[in-house]
Amino acid sequence: MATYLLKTLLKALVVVLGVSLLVFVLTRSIGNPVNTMLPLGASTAERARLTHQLGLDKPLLAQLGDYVAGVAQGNFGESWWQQESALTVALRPLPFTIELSGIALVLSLVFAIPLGILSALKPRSLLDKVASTSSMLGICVPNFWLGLMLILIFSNLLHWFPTSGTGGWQYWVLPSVTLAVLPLGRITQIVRTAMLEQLRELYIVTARSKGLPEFWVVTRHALKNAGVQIVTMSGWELGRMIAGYTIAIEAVFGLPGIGSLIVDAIGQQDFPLIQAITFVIAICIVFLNILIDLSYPLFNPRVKFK
Amino acid sequence: MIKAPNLREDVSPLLSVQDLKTYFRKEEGGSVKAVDGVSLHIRKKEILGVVGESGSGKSITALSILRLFPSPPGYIAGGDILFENQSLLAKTQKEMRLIRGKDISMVFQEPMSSLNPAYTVGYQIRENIQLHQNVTKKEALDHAVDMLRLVGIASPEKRVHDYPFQMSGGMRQRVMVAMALSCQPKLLIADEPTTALDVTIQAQILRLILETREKVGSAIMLITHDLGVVAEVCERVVVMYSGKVLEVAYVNDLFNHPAHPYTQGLLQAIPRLDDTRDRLSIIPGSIPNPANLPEGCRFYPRCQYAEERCQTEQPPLVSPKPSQWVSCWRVAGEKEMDSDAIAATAAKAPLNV
Repeated sequence: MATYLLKTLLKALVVVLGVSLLVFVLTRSIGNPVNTMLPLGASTAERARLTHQLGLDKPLLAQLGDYVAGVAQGNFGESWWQQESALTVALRPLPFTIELSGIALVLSLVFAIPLGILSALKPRSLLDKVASTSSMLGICVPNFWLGLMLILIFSNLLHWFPTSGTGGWQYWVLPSVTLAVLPLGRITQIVRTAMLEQLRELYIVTARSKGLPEFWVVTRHALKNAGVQIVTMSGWELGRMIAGYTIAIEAVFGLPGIGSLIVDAIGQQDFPLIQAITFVIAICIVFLNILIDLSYPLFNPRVKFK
Repeated sequence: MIKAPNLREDVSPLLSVQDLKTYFRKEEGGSVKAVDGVSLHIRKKEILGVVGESGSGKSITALSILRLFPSPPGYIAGGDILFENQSLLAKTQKEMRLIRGKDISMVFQEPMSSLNPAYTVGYQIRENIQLHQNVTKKEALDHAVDMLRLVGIASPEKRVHDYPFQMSGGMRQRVMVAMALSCQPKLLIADEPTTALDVTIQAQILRLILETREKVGSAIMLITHDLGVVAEVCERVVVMYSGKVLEVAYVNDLFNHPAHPYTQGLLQAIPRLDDTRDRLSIIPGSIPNPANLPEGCRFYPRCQYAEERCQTEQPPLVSPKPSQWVSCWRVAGEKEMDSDAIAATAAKAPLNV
């Protein structure tokens, strides 16, 4: 187990470094930030001074050296746009994003698991058809459009929930519902497929032959074996939401999430901030994947960490 | 090998399957007649062999008794199943659950896949015990250990915490037997319990089932396609073919005087040590497709004695002599039974064997 963790952490380090390197190269190729930061009529001298100030006049390798040296000390430099530590700016929307994504994931699981199980129990029944169609719909509907429609109906017409912003629980409802629709669709389909697979297994007949109630057979026997697939898919969906899939929803509902921060940082060509955000997201994703890996033995005792 | 016990005084049937029809609905319409009018019975503590090739309806008959065949598409199209004189088909799902695993339990053909890979064997045995007996978790686990010891698993108090993947096929089948017998069922249905195992393990498992049965006192319905096994352990045999019972007899009668051409063919196909033939005899052809059954006798297309009548009329089960029942026009015709007499015996068959 200790060896496994050590190996995994080393691999994670490689992944995070790789991502950082890639982002470093990509930022340098999206254009010159000096153009964005100075007014149109700025003189050549002013431009040269800013370029020097930002360290962009150094050779690319030297810039990379500075960057790596900084990251090694946990220093991503100062955000050009926000005038404060890039890491601090990058971390600020993270709790909100994680909370919103978490609520959305729980919401989708609460519906996806029973729906997927019921569909698998009665394949090709009316319920199964309705569930399949609506989960396909959930996958296909653009979430910004869905968000707007929900605002139109539940805020403007019914006045049940606020249109945008943050605050009490009412503010969470529409964004998390909007966000939950896609994972709900995908996880329902995964649960259905995984359960169909398990319910065909012979050990299910054995469980029934013992006189177990059908609810036990399905939840204790089949669902546990389907767990690996469901957890993997759920973790993947959560990772995607944290990595900025929330952008459109943040825009629609006016929320301070990590998605809108990325967009702004790119718009401002704020290299240190872009690098800090991607670093933070990469750490989150890697950590999430380790958690998923560690959960596998709960469902499959054959999984051993070496 | 353990010798089959002698006939007992008490001959009232424990289980009686009467003209059972289990069909499977096809999507394109119509039905596949997997079990088509099967009658058989098992007495208390009796070992009944059910033989037949793949597709003869043996397993579906067994699953029908526990009402565990896939449904839909499967459904009972007719007949009845009486267990201790109560119809199992009339029971509610809840009542059925109280019978499964307690009064009637089952061991399956594939030990590798019939245990849940995600739970320890101890948990899986304990589950059965706790479900049917009012015991604590600890008591149930102790009982599970005892059962594992009974089926000959070394250091059971350790093995009880093993997962199925940590055991060999033979050991898993022992676990299945331990689980099936943990609540002292009145009937154990063993569906080809040794088919998937090595020959040496086969004998062990078979002996184990019989020994454990002696201690627990269950009747056994042993489904197999191995006539050698039948000869060694069973008291009576039911020969099935294409969803029908072709012959029912005591083991000695069946092996010495097989009455049905199919049974005769099966026995001739067994290789013998003193055989001087170069090739084994075979029954030409193959079992009919259940979706497209012959109109008359199911065995007619492969039968060397087939007559015109066999092609159009299904032969009834008749009794040429006490305790032997045969479904063949050669036998029915010989006795020159009129149709009323045939109907009368068929209605009783084979309960009064």
